[in-house]
Amino acid sequence: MRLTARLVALALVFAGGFGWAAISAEVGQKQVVAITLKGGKVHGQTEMSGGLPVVRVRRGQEVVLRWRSDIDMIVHLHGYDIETRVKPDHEAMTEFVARAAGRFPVERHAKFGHTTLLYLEVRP
Amino acid sequence: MRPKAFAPIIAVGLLPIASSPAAAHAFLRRYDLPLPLWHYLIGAGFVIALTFVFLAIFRAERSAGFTRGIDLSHTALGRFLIRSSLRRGLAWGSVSLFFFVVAAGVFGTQEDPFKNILPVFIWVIWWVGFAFLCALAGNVWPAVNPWAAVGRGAEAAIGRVSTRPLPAAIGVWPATILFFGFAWAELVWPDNAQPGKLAGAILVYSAITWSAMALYGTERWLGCGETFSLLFEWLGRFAPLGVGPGGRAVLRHYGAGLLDEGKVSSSMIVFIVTVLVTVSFDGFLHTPPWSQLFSAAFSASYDLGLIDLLGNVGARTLIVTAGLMAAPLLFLAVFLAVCATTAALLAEPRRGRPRAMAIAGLYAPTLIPIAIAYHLAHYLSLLLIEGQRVVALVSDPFGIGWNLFGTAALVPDIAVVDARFLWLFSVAAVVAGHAISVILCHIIALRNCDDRKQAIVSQLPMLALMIGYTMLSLWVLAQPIVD
Repeated sequence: MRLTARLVALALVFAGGFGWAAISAEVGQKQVVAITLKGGKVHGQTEMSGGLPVVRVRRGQEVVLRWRSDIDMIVHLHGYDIETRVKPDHEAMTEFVARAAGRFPVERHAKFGHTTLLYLEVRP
Repeated sequence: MRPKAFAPIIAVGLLPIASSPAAAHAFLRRYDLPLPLWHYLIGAGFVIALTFVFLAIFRAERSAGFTRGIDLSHTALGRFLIRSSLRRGLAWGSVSLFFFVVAAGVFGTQEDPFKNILPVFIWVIWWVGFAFLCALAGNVWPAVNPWAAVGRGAEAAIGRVSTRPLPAAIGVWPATILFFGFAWAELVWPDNAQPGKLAGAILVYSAITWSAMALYGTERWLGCGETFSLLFEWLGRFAPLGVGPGGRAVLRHYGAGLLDEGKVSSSMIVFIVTVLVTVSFDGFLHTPPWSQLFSAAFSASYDLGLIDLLGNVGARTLIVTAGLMAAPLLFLAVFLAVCATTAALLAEPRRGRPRAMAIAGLYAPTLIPIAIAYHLAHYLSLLLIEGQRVVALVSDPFGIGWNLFGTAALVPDIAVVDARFLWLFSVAAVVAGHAISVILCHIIALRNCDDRKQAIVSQLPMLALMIGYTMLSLWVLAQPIVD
C-alpha cells in the first residue's frame, strides 16, 4: 500500500507540474500585412516558423496581404485557394476573411515549380 | 532554412528544397496548427501521471476485468456480423468497386489528381478512413478484401496451380516487405497521386498477390503475404468489436484483442515496428528538424555529384527512402535494447535469463495502441477536409465532365473542423492510446511474472520506452508543419 501511495503522489506531482502554462489572446479588427518580395523571397519579415516567415492572424479577422515585388509572379494562398498576380512597381492585394483556422502555405507559382514563400497562421 | 546549406544549390540555379515540384504530399496537405505548448505540457503530464497511477493500482484481478469481453453471438448484432450471405454480398460489391476505381485511374483524367477518384479514394478514404473504421469499430477487411474474394473465387473455379507448400520459416516476412513497399509508395514515391501510375502500382500488387495465392493457396497467402490483411487485423485487434474464440462475435475493451496472440514471431515484431514507425515518420517528415536534416543531406548529395546523376526529384527520393529505411531499424534497435534490459531484470540464478527476442515477442503488440492514437491525431483533419472531395468525385469519378449526382462542383470546406477541437482530440487520442498501451504492458508483465513486485520491475524499461514514444508523438504534433 505504501508503494501505491508513493506512486500516486508522484503522479500528482507530474500532473500538477506540467499544467501551468496559458495562452494569451488578442483580438483586432482588420489586419493589414505588408509583404515585400525581393528576388522571389520575402524581405524584412522578422517572425519565422519552420525556417520561413510566418504571418499570424486571428480567426474571424478581415485580412489584407499587401504585396510588393520586384519580379512578376503569381502568389497562391493554399487552403483558402486565392491566387494573386503580383507585378513590379504595383501593389497587389489578397483580401479575405480568415474564417478557417490553420497553417496555410503561401506559394509562388511558376513554370518550374512551386516555392513556399511564407506561412499564414490563422489562430482560433 | 539555413542559407549556408542552400548556398551551393542556389549557386547553380536550382530550386530550394521547399519547392521540389513533385513533392509527394503536395497532394495530401494538412493545414493543422502546431499543438500549443499548453496542450503539449498537459498531455505530457497526463502521460506520465497515468503511467504511475496504473502502475500503482494494477493487480492481477483487475486485469481479468479488462480482458473479459461480452459474447455477442446470441444478439442480433452478433448474428448480423457473421452472416455469410452478407459477407459474400460485401465481397463482390468490393471487387466491383476495386475494379471501378482502378479503371478510373487507368482511363480517367491524368491532369489533376483531385479530378480523378482513385488517389483520393486510396489515400484518404481507404488508407485513412478505412483504417480508422477497423481500429475504432472492428476489422471489416476480411469481408471486403477484393484480393481475397478474387483469390477464393479463382481457387474454387480452377484450383491451385501448384501444391508446393510455403515453408513455415517464412513467417510474415512477405507481408513485412510488401508493407515497406506500401509505406514507400505513401511517403516517398513522388508520383503516388498520379492516377495512372497509382493504378499501375495497384495492379502490380494485385499480380503479386494473385500469383502467390495461385501458387500457395489463398488462405495461406492471406496469413503471411497479403500485407493489408495483416495490417487491418492488427488494427482490428485494438477495436471493441471482434471475433473471439470459436469464431463468435465479441464486444471487448479497446486494446483487449491485442492480448489474444500471446507471443508473436520475430518477423511479426518487425512488421509491427514497421507499421508503428511508418506512421510516426510521416509526421516527422513535415517537421523543421527533418527539413534541416534533409537540406544537409541534399547539399551533401550535391557535393557527391548525386544531383547531377539522379536529378532533383531522384535525389530527394533517395534521401527520404534512406530515412524511411533507417527509422524502423533505429526503433527496432531501441526496442530490442529495452527488451534485453527487461530480460536482464528478470534473470534468476535458478532459471537463467529469458531471451530478449522472447520478451520482444510478448510486448510488441502493446505498441499498437500508441501507433493507432498517433494515426488518429495525425490524419483526422485530412480525413475531414480532403475526404469531402469524394462527394464531388462520385459525380465525376473519371474527371471527364460528368455530373451524375449534381455534386461535381463541390469544393472542400476547410473550416469544417475547429482548430481547438483538433488540438483537444489529438492530445486526448495520444494520451488514451498511451494509457491502453500501459495497461496491456501491465497485464503481460503480470501474466509472465511470479509476483507483482517482479512484474512491476520488469515492465519499467518498456514503460520508459512507451513514455518516450508518446512524448515523441506529442512533440511531432507540436511542430509547425513545413512542406
